Amino acid sequence: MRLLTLNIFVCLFFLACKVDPKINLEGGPVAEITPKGWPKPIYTFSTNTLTEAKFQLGRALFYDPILSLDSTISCGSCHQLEVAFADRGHSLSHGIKDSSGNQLLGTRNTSSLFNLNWKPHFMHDGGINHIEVQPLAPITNSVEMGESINNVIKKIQRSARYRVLFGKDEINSQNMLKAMAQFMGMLYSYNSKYDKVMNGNDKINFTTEEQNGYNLFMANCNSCHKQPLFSDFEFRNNGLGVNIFYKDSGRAHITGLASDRYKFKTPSLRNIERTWPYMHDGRFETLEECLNHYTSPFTNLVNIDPQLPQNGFQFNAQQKSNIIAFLKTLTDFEFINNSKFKDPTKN
Amino acid sequence: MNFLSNTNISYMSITSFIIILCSLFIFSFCKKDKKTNTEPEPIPEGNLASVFIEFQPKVDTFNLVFNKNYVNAKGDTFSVSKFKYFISNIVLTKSDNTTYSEVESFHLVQHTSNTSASFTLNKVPFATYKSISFRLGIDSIRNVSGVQSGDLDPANSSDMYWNWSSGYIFMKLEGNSPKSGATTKRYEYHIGGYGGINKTQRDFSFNFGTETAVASTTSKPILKFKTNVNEIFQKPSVIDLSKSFNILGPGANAKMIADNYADMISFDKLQNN
Repeated sequence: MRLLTLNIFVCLFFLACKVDPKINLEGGPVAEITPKGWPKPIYTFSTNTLTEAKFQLGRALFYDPILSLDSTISCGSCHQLEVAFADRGHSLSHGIKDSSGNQLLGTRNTSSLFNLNWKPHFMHDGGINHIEVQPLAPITNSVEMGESINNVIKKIQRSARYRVLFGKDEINSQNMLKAMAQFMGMLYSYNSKYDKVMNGNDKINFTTEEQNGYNLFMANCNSCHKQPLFSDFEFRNNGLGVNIFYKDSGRAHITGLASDRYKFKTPSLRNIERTWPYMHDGRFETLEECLNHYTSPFTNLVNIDPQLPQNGFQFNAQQKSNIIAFLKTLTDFEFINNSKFKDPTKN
Repeated sequence: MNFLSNTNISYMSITSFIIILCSLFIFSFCKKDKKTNTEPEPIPEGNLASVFIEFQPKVDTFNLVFNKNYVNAKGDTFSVSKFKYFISNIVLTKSDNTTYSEVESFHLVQHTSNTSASFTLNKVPFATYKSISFRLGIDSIRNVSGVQSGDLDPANSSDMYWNWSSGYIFMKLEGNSPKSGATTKRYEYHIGGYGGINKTQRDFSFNFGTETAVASTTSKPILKFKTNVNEIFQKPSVIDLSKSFNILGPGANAKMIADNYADMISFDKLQNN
């Protein structure tokens, strides 16, 4: 009797003060963490409490073509886990089909997705200011998903699958976008060889080539591609010149400032071996081509970044190969093989 | 079976009673804690009235009729086919100078032809009010804090949010003009910009003069305002539709329009019903 009363008391205690849902993530995604030596993330789920159910809802939405007008394109169509959520082999993003059945093309290369909680803004031009509103851009872009948010919500409301996945929550744009922010925000990539070397884990060391490459990288590249996130999230013109087909003004598209013309956000170099083609318009297919761009004299000088030496960086063939060897240590195989990030409908 | 003896039963009952009391205390503590964290001070429902707020679109002295031709300050003919704006941060000042600020105060005012647009403040404390202030536009913080609800829900206000360059469109005016520089002869002003030198929120403040709005069990005031579209074209900058026909994002041109709409709303009259 006494034991029973005590049990009731304990149960009441737990019912009264709900356990923090963050610690209920067993068997779910990795728990919210800040990897060693990293700055604090910008998005901390403080107004979007992490739960396994919401993470799974966000994951289902991310991989569901229901978000597109003709139900052919999901986020996962252009953001593929195996290549760190970049778009394998595609220089430009590809969207819904036109009346002749051709897929519509965008004007920019699909960004890879990871460590998004540290990003102060999204897209090559930084036009999106918050992870929760990011999906609105591809959903409503006429050459990507071509859909309206209202219609997406209506379609999801009619879906038996989503009635289950939303649980007791209303099916509306807040709950949809917050769930997607949980999935996207939890895409942490911090287990590359580089990370293991830096953390002194498992006695893993750089090879001589990688170490030489790292030293060259720190001396020449780190001021913009700043470790540990490998971006400073600033907007810079790296001298590519305007693509004659798209005439993309970059950051100026958002700010309207002539001084921002042809500037694009410094991309992270994590998982760079996987995320080809490179640059905002996908013009380079190999890391060698990228390095050759940086080691050639710069000729497109409008708003060019002042840190770039006008005659290009002076790396010899061996140094280039060492830098590439180092860049390949940034591939996080645990991340790109993480089954928790896979399309839940495909096993 | 010792525990069936009288003394033990009374001992158990007292223990149980204390434990239940403790549990109740824990419950009430947790609930209270939650409430103070997330909700404002509750006002007893019985002492709240509704206040109806109405905006009548005008072109100078005439009620705005959509797709009808008017003449602006430059002397150019124009018509209107879409006109909407956000009103936020509503504050009512009582006769004793204390104030009531509406919580989650965001209202999308969507005009249709020749009719007023309105919304209701549902939780106005009983009092006599002498003035009102509000903002056209949305505070910076709501533009940078992710997905919002109510009138700020991107699904409810889908054409008042820039999906490609995060931020709300505070004021949207579209129509036709033979003077428009566009081949379609349309003009479109989508005005926003939540921060920096080109921010486009504008504040309005009105005294009710000799009158007061009385919120009580028997009186639900109606506050009527006039919104003059022609102000958008005339002061301090006279807008030339052959040059300024598509202003579709934040910047200096949007600020120019915002400076013009800073006086487009005026107080008309109030009724205590």
